[in-house]
Amino acid sequence: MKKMDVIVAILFLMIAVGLFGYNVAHREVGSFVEIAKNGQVVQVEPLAENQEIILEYGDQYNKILIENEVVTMVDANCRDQLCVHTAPLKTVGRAIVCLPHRVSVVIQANGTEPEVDGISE
Amino acid sequence: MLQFTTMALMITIAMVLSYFERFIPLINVPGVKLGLANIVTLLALYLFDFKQTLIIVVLRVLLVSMFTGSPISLIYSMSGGLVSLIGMKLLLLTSTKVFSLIGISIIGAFLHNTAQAIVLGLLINSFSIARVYYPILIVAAVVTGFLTGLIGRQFMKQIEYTPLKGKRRYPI
Repeated sequence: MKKMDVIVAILFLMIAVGLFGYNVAHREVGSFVEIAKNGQVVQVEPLAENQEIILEYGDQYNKILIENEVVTMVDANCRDQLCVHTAPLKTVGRAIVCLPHRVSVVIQANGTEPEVDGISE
Repeated sequence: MLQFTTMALMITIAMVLSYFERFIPLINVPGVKLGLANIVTLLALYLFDFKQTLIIVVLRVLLVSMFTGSPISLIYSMSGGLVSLIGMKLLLLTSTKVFSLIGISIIGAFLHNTAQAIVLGLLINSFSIARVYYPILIVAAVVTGFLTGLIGRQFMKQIEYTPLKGKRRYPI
């Protein structure tokens, strides 16, 4: 091992710590849950309201639960099940991603209703 | 012929490593893997020319995605694999006096995870998620890059006792 190997490793770790600090400093309790499919926001729900959201597109199925201001993906029929095992969310920017179905659930500070009719215009 | 069979064998080994590393429990963060297949990329970079290494990486990614992945995971692994491959090759061409094999492996892992974080942001059209995961991905890259580098270095030493003796292109 050379000296520069260690320096680069330390540099990378410092970048990680810096970014982590930045993220923590900018962390806030969210108020909306933004659900997107294929990069397009399809649903925005208040975090305060307990509810179960079921997304079904063809044979792709995802079940999202909002309970006590915490969001979890309780069920999905995707291949890798990573989304179901992702830890519950409550702070802004945190997200659950289901890559096989291209579904993302992100906590936002403030939400606006998506323009669902955008397609039919 | 020796090179041809070695390349085929390396693709096979990389595929098996990609498959079996999922059974090694690691922290539960999507995208964090040991990256054992990176050992094969490293060895290929040190033993073969760029074109042959590219063939090994591309075939490995395609075949693994065909057997176990999805089109999305293909985009994901291909971008990470290619970016780290090109980055490590450039380092080998320019900076072997500065970095050893382990340093190059760490930088390769860093580039791999950086590319994947960017692709994640592009795929879902938002970088708010990538921003949160990126620090974890960097730490994971340093740890896994170091480990795969250690293993790779040991392999490069052992290779002197095989028919590939003397084929090493760069100092380790």
